[in-house]
Parts: sequence; structure tokens; C-alpha cells
Amino acid sequence: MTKRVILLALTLLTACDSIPQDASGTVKRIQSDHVMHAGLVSGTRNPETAQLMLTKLAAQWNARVEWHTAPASIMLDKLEKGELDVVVGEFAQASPLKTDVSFSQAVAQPEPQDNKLPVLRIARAHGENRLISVTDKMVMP
Amino acid sequence: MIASGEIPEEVRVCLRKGRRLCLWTLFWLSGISILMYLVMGQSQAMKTAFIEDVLSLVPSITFLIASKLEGKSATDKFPYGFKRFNSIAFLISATALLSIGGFMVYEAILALVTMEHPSIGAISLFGMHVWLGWIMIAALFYSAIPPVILGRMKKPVAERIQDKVLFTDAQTQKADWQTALAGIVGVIGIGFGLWWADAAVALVISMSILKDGWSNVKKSAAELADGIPRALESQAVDGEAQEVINRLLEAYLCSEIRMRESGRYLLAQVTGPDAIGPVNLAQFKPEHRSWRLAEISLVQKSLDGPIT
Repeated sequence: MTKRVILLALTLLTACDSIPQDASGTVKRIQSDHVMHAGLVSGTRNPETAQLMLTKLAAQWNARVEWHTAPASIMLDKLEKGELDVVVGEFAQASPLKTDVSFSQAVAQPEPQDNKLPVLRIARAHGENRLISVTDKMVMP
Repeated sequence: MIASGEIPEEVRVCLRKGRRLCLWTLFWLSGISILMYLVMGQSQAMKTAFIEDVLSLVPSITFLIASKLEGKSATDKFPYGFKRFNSIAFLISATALLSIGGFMVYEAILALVTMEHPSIGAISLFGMHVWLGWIMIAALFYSAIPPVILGRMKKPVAERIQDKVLFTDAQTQKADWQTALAGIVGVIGIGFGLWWADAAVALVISMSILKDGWSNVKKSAAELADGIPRALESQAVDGEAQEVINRLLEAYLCSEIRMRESGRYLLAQVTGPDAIGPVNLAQFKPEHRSWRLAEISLVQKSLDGPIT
């Protein structure tokens, strides 16, 4: 019994680095295809910081970023369907869309007091926990 | 005895111990519930563990109330005393356990059917960026420890004084730590990219909780409907109740024996032509827990048909 527990603990420890993984394998696909499909919501003000962050992240995975621009509804729909990996846009913390996608913290600024105020964020598909975790860490001050 | 505030010494000692354990339960589970709420994120297992923790406070609260009332003497408005409040508390506790199981089943099935993919991001903790899943696992592990200890301590006390509320409370603690372990497996599953692991594990665990809850609701309903006393861990007739019935049947050959339960106490009624007093209660008491037999009432009347 003790041996099994130790074995399980060791397995978990060695797996620490590879946890979390994506439910649909987004990061693995970016790494194998060398392309990150990113959406930019049209009309987003000053998206450069988020764009630069994603470009750097893609470079770490030996990938380039392919940008697509369209209104938020189209971009988020594509994100949910897995046609896009990330979407950059202005979204409020209390946005009802957060049940459909996972939003990062505010990029390059503290969270506004008013949670209904749209600010620059990176949206990711739910369940893509490696991508979510990595981008979260990247956005954090 | 049933109308007086009198409580047997063995029961009094155990009630005191039970109350102390329930107060500890309230203290630990309140803290755990707050912690769960703070770290639950979007994980189904974590949400379930949180709601389950809040609901699991109910049996301890009802035990504390019922055990206080048990020592009160009868009043004009409650001429039979307050000992039966234990039966009411049992129904409430059993309903809480059933609700926990039912809620978990519903949430897990919903998550599986809608193919909900839980998102667990990273947080900043003491200047370090950590995956929230690790914090959740730590919180769940912590939340499993007090219920394991408290549940194991409550069970023998409940068995000693045949307290179904405290026994249900111990079962609720079991549900607590099982849910926490299910949550850990679920979060690890999410970590490995298995979105369904969370809900699937919760579903498996919730089935056994639902079964315990349903069994207790049936037992408590039977108790309130003056059904024959049931054993603590099954739907079978209580062994001590059967022992008393057998003794009464031997003593009153031409009478019918009816047995019911008021909280932990057994009440018997002998109806028949030979149900003539006075009755010596001590003669019929069960061997192991003699205090359980609280009352025997005799109703003398002729019986139509065969005598049971």
C-alpha cells in the first residue's frame, strides 16, 4: 500500500511539469503546426501589448501568430468551435460571455473597480487549461 | 420517563460527547466552506464540494437542537415531552443527506450531458504564479481531514446511544471526505486534459451518498409514522425492539404487541384480554441497553380473530 502511494506521488511529481494539459490539445497543436490562430476583435483599442505577449508566447513554442480580425461575436464563436486558439478584445469582468469562454485578467493594467467596464483581455476556450494557465501567468504583473 | 426530562446516565455522557463533536464539526466545516468558496473557480467537483459542505452542517445543527430539547420536561403544550424531537431531527438530517446526493447526481449528469469543460487558470500566490488546480487539491485534501476524524469519532457514540441523527451526521462526514477525494481525482483529471473526469467521479460518489440518504429518509419516515423500530445501519427490525417484543409475547399470550420508537427510546403497547397491570418494566428491558425501553402501555380489550 505504502509503495503504491509513494509510486503515485512520484508519478504526480514527475507529471507536475506537464500538468495542466488542454482538453482539446490546443498547445500541442500549436507546437506541432507551428501556428497560433489568434483573433482580434475589430475596434479594440491599443491591443499591441496583448498581441506582443502572444507573439512572444508563440515564439517559445516555435510558432508564428496568424491574426484574424472580425466582430466579437464571430471571433468568440470561432474560439468555441476550436477554429481560433485565442481572441484579443475588450471584455468586462462581469461579461455574460464568461460562461462560454475563459477570460484572462486585464492586460497591462489593474482590474478596474467597475466590473462592467470592458478592458483588454485574452479569451481562451474553456477546458484548454494549459493555454489558460500559461496565458494567465503571462498577463499577471 | 418519556414525558420527563430524565435522561439515562449513559445517554447523558454520550450526548455531551456528541454535542462537543458537533460543535467541532460546525467550527471546521464553516472554515472549510469559506475556503472552498474562495478557491472553487469553475470546477464542478469544487462547487459540489462547497455546496455539500454547507449542507453537511445541517445534521450537526439538528443534533445540537434535538439533544438540548431531549432533557426538557413535558409542558402543557407538549404533554409527551420533547424526546421525539430526535425523530424530527433525524428526518431533517436524512433529507439533508439525500439532498446532497441528489444535488451531486444532478450537477454531475448536467456537466456530462452539456459537455462542460472546466477551466482552471493560474493565480498569484506570495509572488509566485501557480496553477489554481494545485491550490484546489490542497484545499480539498485539507477539507477531507476533519470529516474523516470527526465521522469516525461520532459513529461509535451514535451506536452506543442509538442516535440516528448523530449516525446520519457520521454518514454525512463520510460523504464529505469522499466528495473531497472525488474532487481531488477530478481536478487531477482536469489537469490531464480529461474534462469529464471531474463530473464522472462526482457521479460515482454521489450514487452511494444518494443511497444512504434515501435509506435514512425511509427509516425516519417509518419512525414518524410509528413504524416498527429499524436497525441503525439497515432497514431490518431493530434487534433490541425484537427482543422486547419476544418477551412481551411470552408474557401476554393472548395480546397483540405494537412497538414504536420515540427518538432512541422504545415504546410498547400491549392490547388484549390479558393486558392487565401492573407491569414491571425491568422484566422486559433489552439486555444490552436496558434504558431503551421507556414505556409499556396496557390496553385491556377482547380481540377479534386470531391472536398474533
